[in-house]
Amino acid sequence: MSKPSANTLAPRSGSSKMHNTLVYVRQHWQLYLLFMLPAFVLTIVFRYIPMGGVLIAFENYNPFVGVFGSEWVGFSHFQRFLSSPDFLSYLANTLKLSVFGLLWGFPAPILLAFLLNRILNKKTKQKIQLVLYMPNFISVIVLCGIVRILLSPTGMVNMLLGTNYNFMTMPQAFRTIYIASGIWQGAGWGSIIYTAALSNASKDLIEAAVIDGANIFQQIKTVEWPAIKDTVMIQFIMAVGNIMSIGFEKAYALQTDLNMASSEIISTYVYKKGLIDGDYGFSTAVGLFNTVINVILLISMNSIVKKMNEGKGIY
Amino acid sequence: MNKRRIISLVLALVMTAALLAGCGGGGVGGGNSKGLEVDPAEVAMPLAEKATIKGLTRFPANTESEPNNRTIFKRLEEQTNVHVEWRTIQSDQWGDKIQLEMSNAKTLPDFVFDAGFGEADLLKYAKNGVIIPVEEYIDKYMPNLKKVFEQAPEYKAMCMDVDGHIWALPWIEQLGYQKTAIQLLDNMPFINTAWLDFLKLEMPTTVDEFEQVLIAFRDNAAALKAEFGIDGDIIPMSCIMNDGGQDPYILINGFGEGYGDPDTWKHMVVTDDGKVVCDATSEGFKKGTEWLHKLYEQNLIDVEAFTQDWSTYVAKGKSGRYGVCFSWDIGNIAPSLEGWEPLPMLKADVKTITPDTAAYTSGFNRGRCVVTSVAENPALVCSWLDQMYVPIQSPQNNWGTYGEDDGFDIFTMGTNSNGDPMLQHAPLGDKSPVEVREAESVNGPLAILDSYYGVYVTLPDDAAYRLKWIEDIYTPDCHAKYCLPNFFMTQEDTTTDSNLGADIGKCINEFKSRSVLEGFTDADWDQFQADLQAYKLDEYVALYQKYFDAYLANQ
Amino acid sequence: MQPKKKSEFAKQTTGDKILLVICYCILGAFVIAIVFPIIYIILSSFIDPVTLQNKGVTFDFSQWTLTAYERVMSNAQIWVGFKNALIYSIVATILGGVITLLAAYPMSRPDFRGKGFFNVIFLITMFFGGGLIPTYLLINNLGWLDSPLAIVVPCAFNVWNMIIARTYYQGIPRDLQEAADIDGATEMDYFFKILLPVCTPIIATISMWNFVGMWNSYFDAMIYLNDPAKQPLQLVLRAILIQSQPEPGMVSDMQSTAERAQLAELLKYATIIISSLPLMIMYPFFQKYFDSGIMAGAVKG
Repeated sequence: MSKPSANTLAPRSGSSKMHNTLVYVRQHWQLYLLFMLPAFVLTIVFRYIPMGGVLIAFENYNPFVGVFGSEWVGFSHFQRFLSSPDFLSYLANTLKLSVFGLLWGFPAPILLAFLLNRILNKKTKQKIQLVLYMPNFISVIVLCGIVRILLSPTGMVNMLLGTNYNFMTMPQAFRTIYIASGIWQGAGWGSIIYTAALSNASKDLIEAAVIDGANIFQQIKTVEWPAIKDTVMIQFIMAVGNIMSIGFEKAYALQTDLNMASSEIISTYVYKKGLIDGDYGFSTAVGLFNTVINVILLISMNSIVKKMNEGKGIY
Repeated sequence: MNKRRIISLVLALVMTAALLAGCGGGGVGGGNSKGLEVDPAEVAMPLAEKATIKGLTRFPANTESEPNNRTIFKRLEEQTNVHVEWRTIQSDQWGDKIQLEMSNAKTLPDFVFDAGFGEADLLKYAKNGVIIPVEEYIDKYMPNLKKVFEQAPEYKAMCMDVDGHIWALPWIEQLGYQKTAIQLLDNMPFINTAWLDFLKLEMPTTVDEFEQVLIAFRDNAAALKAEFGIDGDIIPMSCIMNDGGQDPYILINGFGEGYGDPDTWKHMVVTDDGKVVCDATSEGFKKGTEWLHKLYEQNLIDVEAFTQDWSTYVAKGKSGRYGVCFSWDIGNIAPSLEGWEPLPMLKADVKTITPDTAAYTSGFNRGRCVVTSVAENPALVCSWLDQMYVPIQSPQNNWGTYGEDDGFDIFTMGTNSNGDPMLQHAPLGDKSPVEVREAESVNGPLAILDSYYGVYVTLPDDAAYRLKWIEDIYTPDCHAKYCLPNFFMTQEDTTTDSNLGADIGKCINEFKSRSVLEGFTDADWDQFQADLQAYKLDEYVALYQKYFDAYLANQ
Repeated sequence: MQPKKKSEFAKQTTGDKILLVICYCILGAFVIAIVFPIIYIILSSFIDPVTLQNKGVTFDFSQWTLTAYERVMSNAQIWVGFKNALIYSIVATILGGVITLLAAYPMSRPDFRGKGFFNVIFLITMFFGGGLIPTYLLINNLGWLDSPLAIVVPCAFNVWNMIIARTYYQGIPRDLQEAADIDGATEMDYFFKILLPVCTPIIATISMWNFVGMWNSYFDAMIYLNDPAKQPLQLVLRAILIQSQPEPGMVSDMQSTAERAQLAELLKYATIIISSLPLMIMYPFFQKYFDSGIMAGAVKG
């Protein structure tokens, strides 16, 4: 039985479209029952049912009477959050950290993947990969401890430079420290996905290109880049969609009294507030605020990428 | 399907889901059905008939997880004829899990034994009807706690909120009293007397002499290294700026008005005429900071003082590199207690010490134990909890017990001078005291008053020497009439306090660090004051003034 | 191998040779930047923190101590933690891998009806969520409190992984699909016999992510599991490291803070080694598949 191609199912009227859909579903029932069902059920049960919790952002949540019994306070949590005197500064710090992190941190795994692909000896390549992935397993707290030791006025970095800078007290240095240590830790691990996608670049095509006299740049341009282009786009959109979601742990661990001007971001501020308040509604409200901005950014970026990438985006 | 339809479908899904989620809260059924009508005689311990109550508590990781297997609770069950069904949470997971426990009406027990709730939590749970006020139960069913309150009424006042409700049973561990209280100062300054002797220097008594001593440490570094065989460079003075017991501002107490900066959280002191003041606005603070910067400029202060963490600070100290350092107890930092002594207060303009906030009524944890609204017979629960306040029981709950068959105990049961039973701290050999304590103690609500020492229990060793230091060296210089107590504010005020306090504290801490590190001009100081005003310092101080005035009125 | 490599390199044009050298240099720099701190960590786990702070990493073996490892390994909980972590990780990998890879397939087909619907449903969950308490109540209502089900099932389907897999499937040339159609293959046949075998890189990648993710996670386990016998490794290690938090105001704990903090410091590096070593050992197992070439000869002609 040959499957009709997608185009012949173009609908002419509402009911015929519905009919065509049902026909399709019946024909391809396995797709729905076997492939999609488990994921769908899990999503509904574990993601949608608890979603009522989003309402907590608008309430003074009282766990004993649940989400629907709690006192409704509308946007007061948001007001409180947005009217804190330094709100703009926290927002700016969050955005700067995220955007610059993206700028520097996003290309690094891609670059690594390309570099790794140049290694001809498979065993060497694998050994190097192992080394590159190791930093990923160090916990954030320990990483920050090491960073502090390395950057102390009497630490290794200063010794190498022959200077005496107290890097951790300098607000200007914070972002660099944060981003550089992030790249150090995550670039190797992040390159895995690109390496996997690169393996899709057919060796035949590469050989063909080499025979045609292409140099490395041209090989990359004609064969390797197209192979991972889609993956890169998707990763990029997702990264943009997470700009507001910087966790507090690392920034908190790298904070000192004197670098707060750049190290106090939204999540560290909320965490410190939460420590004393235990205000569940407030922290949910802030999370919601971040999410809304993330979604707006994601949708915009997705549209932009689709225009540049032949209509292929996240959705 | 077009986008609009998809979105509306999803919205419908979300609504349904939210409805389902909302039903998760359930209500609190029954609860407190017997309330205050119960006859005290019915619940006097030991009970005539065995009864069961449900409690929640915590245990340190790698120790006994079932409380009923601990000697203390075994004995209590025999004594009272009350069986307790326990739920437990491992200590290191407590902070994250307790919220969830308190929101789960199905599994909530009758009482939370070792809760340690802060004011905000207590008020929140009170408002939500999760916990019940216990002042009337204390009156009727808790004679031991009542006696404690009679002996130390200031604690009773601190337990009550502005409406006179007591929402939790307290933890009280008095060591010393008022001006001799062990919490008089957290960041005790210590000086390396071995080095002083070697360099033939006298113990400094003024800020100038102190500066000279530090300079001598710095200049004779090579000799000190050689004499004492030290790995690593000599550091005349080390500290961790703004970090509680490691903060160096105890040194500036003698400048200006003599307020110092005893409290690295709130930075507030009370003058002798009852006025609450933020010490960061005082002349003394300004002069003291200038002086500290002067020390820093002469390389007398550890360059890592602004960024190091506790373990780095300790590691350097343990190899004997410090001349002066700060901590609760020098034993934590120096290789040994030998060759170190507490540094007496330095005279600058005056010679004084300002007590740390709440030092006079210290060793107090307001929200230690709560009774929940699901308890069917709160009178019984309270009566059982009252057993914890029996004078010979409290020290055991707090520190450990006696007469266990296996291994070491914290105590042995001896007698005091009157021949009555008294717990005596026992030698532990080479066992770590912490481990033995954690294996045996149960914490929870209790009260150990200063008057108990020598009568019901001996003083713990590590407390004994610190109390002596305080009494001998610091109390004589403590002339402060008042000490800012530990207020139980209304929920609104608690929120304001935490909001303003967070920003103001941050501003002050940054100024301290930056100014000692880089120095500051008069313009910087003025800007600093202006920033504090922008963060509503006046409102913050007024808040504390309000509560302090009320507190005075109640004396 | 050697002669072939040499000639490969020699075959390159000068421009390419220079590029390759630069390439190796950059890679080399990366590797060095990583290797040194890693070695520092490994060596530090053998050195007492006081010595470490004051003398730095020293090769004077007399200063080396196995105390850290002794303390950690003598803790019976560690072995329980290992076992649990292994079980949970393997289950999560298989379960998660299967569900995610299955779901990604229809989503990658251009003709799939309802793709938009599923897309929206899934994407929304990437951003909006109820948060901890409603999820906790749900798990409670399912009766899964204190059960390992609570930590392996809810996270079995990961939208991000699905998107990655979907992108990968889309990268497979349509010829494969069409060839299968002509041969009259069913969905299942095509998926399992033809598509998956050429997807080994993505399967390996997602499996490794799932495995590592579950191995390193502790939060869900902490919230939902109460019985110490069910705790995974990270939770046990965390308990050791976090013990140094004191109760406010408790005098008796001042001493313990210092002791505990010292212990935590001592064990800090050893715990990293212990928790990452198994992963390092398992990694080569996954790695075999990353570079498996694709469709060599599958669609010729």
